[in-house]
Amino acid sequence: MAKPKVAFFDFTCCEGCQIEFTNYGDPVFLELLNHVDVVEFREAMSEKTTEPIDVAFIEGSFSREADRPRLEEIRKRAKIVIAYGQCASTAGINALKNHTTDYKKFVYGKDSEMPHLDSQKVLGIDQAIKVDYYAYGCPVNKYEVLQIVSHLLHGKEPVIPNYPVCVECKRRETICRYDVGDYCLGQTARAGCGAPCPSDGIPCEACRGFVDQPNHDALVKVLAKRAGMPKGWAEDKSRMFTANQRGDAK
Amino acid sequence: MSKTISIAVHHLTRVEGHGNIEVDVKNGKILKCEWQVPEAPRFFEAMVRGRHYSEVARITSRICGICSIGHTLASLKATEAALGIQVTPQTFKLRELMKHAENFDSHVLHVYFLAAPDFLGAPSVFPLVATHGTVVARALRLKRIAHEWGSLIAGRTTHPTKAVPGGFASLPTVKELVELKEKMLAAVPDLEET
Repeated sequence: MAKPKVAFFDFTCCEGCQIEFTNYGDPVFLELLNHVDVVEFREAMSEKTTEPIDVAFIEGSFSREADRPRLEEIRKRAKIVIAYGQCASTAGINALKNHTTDYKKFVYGKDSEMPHLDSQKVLGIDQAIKVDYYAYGCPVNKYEVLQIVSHLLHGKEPVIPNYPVCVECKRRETICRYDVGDYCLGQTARAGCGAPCPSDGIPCEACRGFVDQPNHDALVKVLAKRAGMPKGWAEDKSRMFTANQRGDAK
Repeated sequence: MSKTISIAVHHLTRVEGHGNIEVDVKNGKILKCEWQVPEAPRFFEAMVRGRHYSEVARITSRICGICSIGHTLASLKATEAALGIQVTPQTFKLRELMKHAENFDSHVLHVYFLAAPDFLGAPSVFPLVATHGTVVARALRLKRIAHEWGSLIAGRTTHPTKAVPGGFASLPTVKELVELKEKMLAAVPDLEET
């Protein structure tokens, strides 16, 4: 059986998720190449293809109409499309500007109408094309990516956690951030990272986005009441990585 | 001399970031010579407005996935300057070590993944697995060391977590630092080969 053809594409992002792909070390990376053929990967390869591909990993958000044809072209020739990282999945940090309208003027002043500054409300790529699976995270959890690839190679459905980070903290017996006087978004954040941040002494900022149907009102209440966050900050808090998953995302 | 050249490279490969090159020469006369940046803008300066000081470095690190440690440290420095925070010599040293990890990582990425294919006559690192297997294995080993080195101090190399205004949320243990040192020393032969 021929090895499945895999390709990487990037849109509006920092390209850090692609870099994670080079961090596996030699045994894992070389073993992975025994099972898949990487046929296109702009950041690391000159080779380009117009042939059908089995799995397209798409990194980055959909932030301008001009990118739609390229997304559609990738969709057309890919059997499976995976939103690779938070920017592609929900627009992640890029959506932090979505509630504002003056961003061009604020940053570029009188030059704000330059054509290359084209930008719209930033969205996950599933607002332009159909997405089959999501590899969440800012950056992706590279071991979860391996799991997804492995499941697909075995003809199985990848299992993506839809429970909060709190579950993973309890599993590793991390003291709750709220109990040490901090705040945390772990109660509504999507797990799958292994909850490293709270155990390192920092709050979860929900860089993997929220679980499906998060109770945002309760989150704001807990941030204000238990962590003592000022009302404005508590209400604004989840714009950082989850602006598009808030109730007020238009 | 009459010369006609037409170059249109869209989406330059093996570089971080997006670029196009368009050159049009007719009868020896340059009609067009453009370096285009089709990178989608993200407006970070507008994003950080009104955010809490503890969030800013976490936001600006996302400017770039390759040099996110640099962006984190620059932001922390600015925040600390604004608040009049002086970091301890230990924090300063650990931050330096963290930055060295990123520089090391970036050099390995550049030399092996972006440039080496040109020197070895291949379009990318992937065909080199078959023709220059030892080089690729060495590249992956060194990349991994950089990743472990940065992660030990920063939490992770792509978008560090542990570095916060005033210092670090948690510190590596002496044992972990000694193990890192041993790994680094063990990598010296690989570096000499490089």
